[in-house]
Amino acid sequence: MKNLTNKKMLTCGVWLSLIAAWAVIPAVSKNAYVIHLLFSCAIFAILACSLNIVVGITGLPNMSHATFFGIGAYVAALLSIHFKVPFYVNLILGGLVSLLFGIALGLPTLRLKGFYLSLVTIGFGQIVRIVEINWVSLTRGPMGLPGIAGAKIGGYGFSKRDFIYYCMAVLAILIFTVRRMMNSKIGRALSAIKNDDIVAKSLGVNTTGYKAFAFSFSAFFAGMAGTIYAHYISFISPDSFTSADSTTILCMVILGGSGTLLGPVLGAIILTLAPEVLRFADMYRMVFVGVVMIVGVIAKECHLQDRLKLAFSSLIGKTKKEG
Amino acid sequence: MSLLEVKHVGMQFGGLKALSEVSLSVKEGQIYALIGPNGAGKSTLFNVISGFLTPTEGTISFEGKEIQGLPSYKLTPLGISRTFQNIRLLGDVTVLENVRLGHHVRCKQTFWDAEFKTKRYREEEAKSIADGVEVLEFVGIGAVKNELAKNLPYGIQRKLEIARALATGAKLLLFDEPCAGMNSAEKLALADLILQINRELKRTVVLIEHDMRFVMKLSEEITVLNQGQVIGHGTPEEIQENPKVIEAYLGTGRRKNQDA
Repeated sequence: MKNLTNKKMLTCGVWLSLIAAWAVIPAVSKNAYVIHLLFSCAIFAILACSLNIVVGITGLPNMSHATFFGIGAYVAALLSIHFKVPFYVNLILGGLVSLLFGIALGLPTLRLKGFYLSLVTIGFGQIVRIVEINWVSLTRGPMGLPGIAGAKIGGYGFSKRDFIYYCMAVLAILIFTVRRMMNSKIGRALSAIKNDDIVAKSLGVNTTGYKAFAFSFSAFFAGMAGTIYAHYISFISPDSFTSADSTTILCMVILGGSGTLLGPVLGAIILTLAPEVLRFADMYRMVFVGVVMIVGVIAKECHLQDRLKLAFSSLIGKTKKEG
Repeated sequence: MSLLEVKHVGMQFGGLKALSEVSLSVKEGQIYALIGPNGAGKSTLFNVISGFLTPTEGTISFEGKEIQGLPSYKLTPLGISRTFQNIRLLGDVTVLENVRLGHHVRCKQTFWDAEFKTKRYREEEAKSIADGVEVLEFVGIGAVKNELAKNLPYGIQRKLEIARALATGAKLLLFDEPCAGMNSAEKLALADLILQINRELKRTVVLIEHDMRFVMKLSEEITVLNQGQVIGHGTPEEIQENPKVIEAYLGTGRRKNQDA
């Protein structure tokens, strides 16, 4: 019991320090590079957390999460360029269009499992990417869409720094919704599907419906992240949403701890910062990132995280007693 | 009127006829047994009744409504629930959470109820916990409600599966070999539990079982399957005297033992 509360305290502590760092650093730092890194962390945190709904909570492989991110970004870019739609409306519209694609992908394919479903999602990602590249009249193909308006409310234009807070608000809403959802009938049904979908069916869970729900819920937030990204970066092209990005997001979820709330956020931060921190290693840095991934996954398999947490909490317990 | 009516059901897998012309009728409040040698089609019949397979021929009606071909998740709310021959529990969640999952069809809460913690959500969550604990107490495993299901001994896992089926509130319970792998003391306890479920909770039970003492003790009516066909039907006494059943399944040695 004591370990449990200590564990909870530790999780709380990590959350608080994350929020503090995310809130304070952009406020004091004038360094554009630091701001951009923090923004990337926040965007990838949204992506990892939303992918976690499908991969971690429902247990379905999805290798095309960056595609939903891209769909959101393209919707925002096109609406903003052609119709001058403001960014906060795009946030919802981008999410909704992405959600529709999630349902379109979900309903016909969710009878599939495991490798087959991964293959279908990879195929889906490729199809969307090919459309983005070849539908030149709409997307300008590989040349991309430049000149997406920044975010503005009334006369106030968002600075790059404000985008970080905007992301954090969306991330907070996402984590809050997922947390509440996990503690409900829906969460129990999704975890049943993850563990054994035959049992889920036998207990009255409409498995296909719930899987489609998980896919669309996850796609909605990925789409939202896409709209934020488009307005922030002001130029998007098919190169920004490749299957390599999908894989990276998946790695973030797995490395951080799939099925948990905090894990994907940590995974996103580690895998966004690692290539930057390792810049001194020049061309070898991606090798380091690879090693981090491999060690991370092996450590998870050996429950190293739990052991460390236990060791850490018993350490805290000792110092408390002594003090 | 019978609760479950299976009429002329056939199930064809490619060239294999797993069931043919199977008919049976289960009355409300009965304990009904399906017996037969391995490969006779008992589990296939369960899969057909519980919606995991669509029969290629025949009709199945539950409370007068035809249900063949409906997916299993639509049958649970109508009042049919089953257990599995090889135990299927959610190993990584607690015993109580396993049972609460059985409560799924009785919860009307939506996504938004959960997000805003509405009154309905709070009431249903509290009720599903209270009901879950009650069901666990009923089957006699209330003490382990916070353990992970995978850490439980075999016999308790069986009981948990039964508890989960009970928690759905189903009128008709299908138990697929509920006492497989148990020792005789555990079997006796389980037989008592099934009787209690039948008498106190007024649930109708259909069970598949190989242990003849168990079947003869519990069931009021028995259907014997062999190679996908019904070869005998009747009360336990009638079945024990049925020459076809003795030849295909019970064997003559068994009768001698019982005479002795």
